[in-house]
Formats: sequence, C-alpha cells, structure tokens
Amino acid sequence: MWEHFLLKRGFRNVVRGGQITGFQFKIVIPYYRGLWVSAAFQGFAVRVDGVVYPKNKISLKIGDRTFPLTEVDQAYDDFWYFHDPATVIVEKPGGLTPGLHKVECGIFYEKSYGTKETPPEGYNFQFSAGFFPPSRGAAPQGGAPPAGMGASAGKDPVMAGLMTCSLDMVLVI
Amino acid sequence: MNRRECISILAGATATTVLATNGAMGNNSATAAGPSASAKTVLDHKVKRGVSIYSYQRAMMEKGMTLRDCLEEMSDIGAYGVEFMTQAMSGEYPNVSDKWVDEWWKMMDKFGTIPDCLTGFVDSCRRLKPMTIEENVAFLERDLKIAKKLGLTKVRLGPPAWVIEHAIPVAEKYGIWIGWEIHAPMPLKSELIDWVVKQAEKHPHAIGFVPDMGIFQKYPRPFTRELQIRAGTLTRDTALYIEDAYRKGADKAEVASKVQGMKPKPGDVSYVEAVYRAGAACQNPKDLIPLIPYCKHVHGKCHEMTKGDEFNDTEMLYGEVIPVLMENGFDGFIATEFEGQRVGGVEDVDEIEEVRRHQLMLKRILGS
Repeated sequence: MWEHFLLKRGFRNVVRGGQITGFQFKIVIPYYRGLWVSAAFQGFAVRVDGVVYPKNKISLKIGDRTFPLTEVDQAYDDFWYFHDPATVIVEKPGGLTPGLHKVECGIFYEKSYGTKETPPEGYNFQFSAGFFPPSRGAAPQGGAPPAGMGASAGKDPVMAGLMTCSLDMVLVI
Repeated sequence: MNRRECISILAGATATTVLATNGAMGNNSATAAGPSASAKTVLDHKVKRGVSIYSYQRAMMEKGMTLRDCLEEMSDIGAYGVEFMTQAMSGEYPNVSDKWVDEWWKMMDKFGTIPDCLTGFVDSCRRLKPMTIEENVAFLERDLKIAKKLGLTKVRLGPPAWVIEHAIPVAEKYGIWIGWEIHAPMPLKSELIDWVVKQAEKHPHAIGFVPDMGIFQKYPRPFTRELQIRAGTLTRDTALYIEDAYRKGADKAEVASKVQGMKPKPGDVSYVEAVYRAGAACQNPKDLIPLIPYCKHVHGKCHEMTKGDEFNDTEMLYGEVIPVLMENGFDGFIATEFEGQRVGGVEDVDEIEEVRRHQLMLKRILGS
C-alpha cells in the first residue's frame, strides 16, 4: 500500500529570479507514521526520462525547512509529518519541457525495529537488537537490498535497495 | 479535582476502571448505537477495551480521518482506552505546545476516552552512523515527557535492550511504565523474556511486557488465500479442504497425499505447507500466565475478522487467550491494533468496520 508515494499534483518547473532553475515534485511518506528526516532519506534516487540526477542536485522541502540531500544525515531531530507531503527540488537549468515525463523515485527509510549498534556485552540474546537489525552503517544504494525493500527495483543499479515509484506525469507551466 | 488531574494523578488501574465505567455512563448519546459498558462485568475482571490509533492509519492518511474522529469512533464503540502514536500526530511533534495538550484533554473529556499508552520508538537507527546510548535515552526522555503531559502512563517500546535498560531510571522519574512488546515471532520462553522479567522484578513500576496477540496466530489469513485464487494459482475447494483438515488436526502428510489425488495445481500443493506453517510461531496461551503480573497493556493484533455476524478473528486464538487474561488478573486495556490494511491494495480494507468487528468479539468474550 505504500509504494504509491509520488503525487501528480505539485509537479512543476522552479523559477527563481526569472530563470527556470529546475523542477520539483511531491512525495508522501511511504510508511504508517512520520519519520525523522535523517531516517527517511538514507537512500534516495531521482530519474526523469532516463536521466539520473546526482545527490548534490537534489534538495528536500519539508514543512518550511529545506534540506540538501547530501546533508540529511544531520537532520536527525527534524520530523517529517505523517500527513505532509515533502517537495523534492531538483536543480536543472532550463527545467523540463511542457508535456509528458516519466518520473521515477526511489527511497530507503530506516525502520525503528532494529539498531546499527553492536550489542554490548551481556546483551547477546535473540531480539536484544531488534527484529531486523540493519547492516551497520550501510547506505542501501549500490549495495544489497535491505530485507523487505527493493524487490520492485529488480536489477536496476540506480534503484537497488530502494522502494520505488514510477509515474508518467504531465508538466504544465 | 477535574478529570484531567484525576487521570494524571491516579493513572493506575483503579482510576482507569472507575473512569471507564463513568465514561460509558456519562456518554449515553455516544454509546446508544453501540455496545454499552456494564459496571458489574467491568468490576468482575479488570480487562478493558481500547484501540491503538495505528488501526486507522489508512483512513487518516488517505481519507482525512482526524485524531478527533478516531476518538469519537472509539467512544461510539465503547473502547475507551487510547493508545496514541505521537509520530502520527500532525504539526507539532516533537515540540508539543500547551495549546495542543489542552485540545487533547478537551477531546478526552468530550468523548470519555482515557489516555493509556504511547506507541513509542527508540529510533536508534535514524542516522547512518550508530548513535550513543546517551543520545538514544535523551531522545526517549523527550517522548516520555510528552506522554506524561498527555496522561499516557505507559509506553510501548522495544529494542535495543541496552537503551531500554538505561531508560528505566528516566521512566521512573516521570512515573511512566515501559512495556516491551512481545511480538511474533518472539517466543514466550526465551532469554529476552528472562531479561525483561529480571528488570521488572527490580523496577515493577517502570518496565514489563506488552504482549501482542499476533504471537497466538494459529491459522492462515483468508485474504492471502483469496489473492492466490484470484491469481489463478490456487483452487478454492482444495484450499478450503486443506484449511479444514488443519483445523481438525489432520496429519500433514495425509493431507498432502490427498491433495495429490485432487489434480492439483502447483499452488495447491504448496498451500498445504503454507497452511500448516501458519501456526509455526504460535505460542501456548497458558505460557502467558507467569508473565501476566508484568503486563499492564495488551496489543489486540488483528489482520482480518470473519465476514459474518459471528465476530471472530480469522487467525489468532482470542477465544483461548482472553479468558487467560481475565482469570489471571490482567489489569489493563486490550488495544485493538488492526493491521490488515498493510497487505494488498486489491481490496479497500475498511478499518472502521474491522476494528468494530474486533471490538464486538472482545466485548462478547469480556462480557462488557
């Protein structure tokens, strides 16, 4: 039920100082509750019409705050609310042309049912570290898909390990 | 003393029992159409009905159902115990304003609902680098403070164990009880259980268990069968025969051999294994008895209720477990935790109806 996280509304070019600097679209939380920004975007990828946009060209607007994707790990005390879509802003001078575009988005969020910490001595019993302890410190992109995610990404290296959503969206200026 | 002060101060079993009864009686218009609580039976045993708002997640996300709507619904069905997830609230978490807290208490008064348990998370893996115990405990402390303001005297938590152990003194400081969730596939006899019992013996008011009724899942979910039939990989008559044989305790090998004679599809053959595996992690309800003194809250897990007017869970052994809770002095709420909306997408699962069906089952067994 969570794999349909791309919204059609909100897809548009971004204009700054009279210039089109890029495009943006909205995503909802593909989970049953809100997420810490650092947890929500441990893996993230955007591909539009087959073009992959690097992390340093992507930022996220959540509420009234904007986070560069490269800095989300620092946003571990910023909360992305359950009901509020986030805006994904992608830098692309000139933006996208009016018409139909294929937008693909992949996301990996860390769940709370495990920990990256190594159990200290005295805690070496089953489930002390969680149901599904994640692999320690590993970002999912380019690695093996974490349990429960990435099945839909198949062998696509860009989306490996990510929950993906793909839509043909109409860009209107 | 107003109701908010009464709940906040007395927060123990006595207050919630009395308030559950008063809440029902003081709210006749809300309960007229639904089940009404009976003071006598509430006092006979101490098991009360509640709902985790987790149950309404899809209605909240996709259909605009608000927290207020959830509380009104719970009041309408006489499920007064509120399990609340701060991380599903809108707008203010983790910095909750006094105005929001006042609104919360106004809603509790209006609907006769009782703050009971916070669905809490350690969230220790929210960064790419591991977080320290101190960072994790500080994070939990903030949630415990919110719980305190909202009158939620219990918090459902889970791993990591070493963080929980360090959070016990903090829980004691705020008068909050931490319930370690025993969730499938955890067995009731294990090193983890022994570890929590050891902590609970030392700090009975600060830690214990929240058993999730999913540990008593014995039967397969009908929806899974229906998906396979729809996909053409499973034959209905064969599937129903296998399930019936399993319920009657028939030998698996005999059933498998009989299925071979039914001109089976590959899916029919593998369904024997699936059905017989459905209860693989099912615990013996009697094994819960020694842990009941450490339990103050129960998760009433539910994926799918039966469709007719018999009001039974399709998978879990509620008919056996609830009497065990009633007879062995469990004192607290069973919060319905409907989770059937998380599978599929083929059918529009109606959370309101499924929760109501689950509550009708609880009411039948509890008598109130």
